Amino acid sequence: MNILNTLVAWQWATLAAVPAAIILLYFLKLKRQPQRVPSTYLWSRTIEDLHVNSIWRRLRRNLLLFLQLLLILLIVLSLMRPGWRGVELMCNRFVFLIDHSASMCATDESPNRLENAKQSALQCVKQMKTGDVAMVISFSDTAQIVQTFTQQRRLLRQRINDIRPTNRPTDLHEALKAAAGLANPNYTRLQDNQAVD
Amino acid sequence: MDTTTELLSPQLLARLERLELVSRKVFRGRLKGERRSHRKGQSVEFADYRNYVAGDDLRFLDWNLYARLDKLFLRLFLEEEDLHFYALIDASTSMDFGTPTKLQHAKQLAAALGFIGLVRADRVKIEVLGDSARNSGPALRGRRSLRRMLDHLGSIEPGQDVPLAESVRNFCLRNSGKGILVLLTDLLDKSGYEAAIRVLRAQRMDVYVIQILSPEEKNPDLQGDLKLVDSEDGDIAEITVSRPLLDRYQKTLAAFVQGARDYCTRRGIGFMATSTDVPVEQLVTKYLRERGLVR
Repeated sequence: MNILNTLVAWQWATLAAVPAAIILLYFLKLKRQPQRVPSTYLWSRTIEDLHVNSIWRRLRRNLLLFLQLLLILLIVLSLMRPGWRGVELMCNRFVFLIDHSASMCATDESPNRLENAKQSALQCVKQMKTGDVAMVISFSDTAQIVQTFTQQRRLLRQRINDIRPTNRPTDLHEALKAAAGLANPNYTRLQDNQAVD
Repeated sequence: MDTTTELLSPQLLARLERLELVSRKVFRGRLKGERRSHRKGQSVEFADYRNYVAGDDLRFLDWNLYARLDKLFLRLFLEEEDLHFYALIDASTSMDFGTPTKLQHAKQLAAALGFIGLVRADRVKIEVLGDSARNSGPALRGRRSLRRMLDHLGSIEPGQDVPLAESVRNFCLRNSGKGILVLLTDLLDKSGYEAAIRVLRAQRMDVYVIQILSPEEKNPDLQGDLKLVDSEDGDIAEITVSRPLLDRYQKTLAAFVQGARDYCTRRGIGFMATSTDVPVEQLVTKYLRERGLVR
């Protein structure tokens, strides 16, 4: 989980003071009504051994105080803006470009880079909704379409799994060009001149 | 008649007339009364014969026996004596609570028991626990003294905050006579009631302790965060009323009453705990009868 910091230090300090102030105010506001009784003899005997845990007892019975503290806690939490960083598919047309050049055989990640890349691609496939289409391109110095646009996730998974490592160098331009052309043919032509360079 | 009806209703008086104070011990009285004693003396109740010794009163010789046996015998009779009845009323400020107040209840009880004593020609003395000089009540005898007894009871005011033990000791020093003693108090004394009861025990009286509590003390109707102020010494107890606390209070109260009961019973002292909402009539004609204080 990541926390996006939205406040500076002194603002955080002010915020931290709020729950403390609530508890403090709660104890300050406790004003006891005087009541005349015949004798406090029995009462003082009653509360004699309750003194030890009286603070906890008092706190336990105060739902309102706890609701206030809970509210403050929730506000603090929302100000912290907690969230998970990850990949989410936003559109309904995807092109998965998977590099299977020699460098992808490096085992600095376990089991190797290619396997990890394939796993990431499979994760994305899993996220696809019904009606979304995707294609798979594997590339090294040349790009080849492993699977054209399809809705069948089972087929996509199978194709991704079938990608095998090669011992060729990497050419990203080639792959992007192929992908751009397939994903959005008109747009690709427009961009062609710049992309080649 | 307002004091009379306030403390004793005519109906109650009628019922009380049939009762009599019972002493578990036989005591020697000072004046002739209606109570049989172990002493031999003059009465209509025959007890025994004994040989004539020179100097005996010739009036008590049994002349019939002399005629028959030609010997002089003296007829002995059981002496009838009076009984001393003391009612000790605790008039501390703590007794001034409840509706009617615990003090009022104590007065009614004392009046009822005192009346029984007066009717049976016993010597009745009602005292207030407190400093010695002021509170010593008149020693009363006979039904005609009812008025004086009630006047004396009516003059008792709350607010005499003397430690129980001290005032009881005071009383015992002034009244060495034996008899029945009824202590009417709430026993809520911070210095403890044990010392007072020990003093009474040493007095060799027939002692009854009647603890009077108000319903407010038995089931306190309190709520919220309170600062309880003691009516006698201004002591403060801070409480936050909650169900567990009240349960605890009940337990403490029950333990306190039970403790007092045990303490008294183990020392041969009659103990009874009562509440101001129990009518005096029921108390005297039922509970005290069961305890054997009245018959």
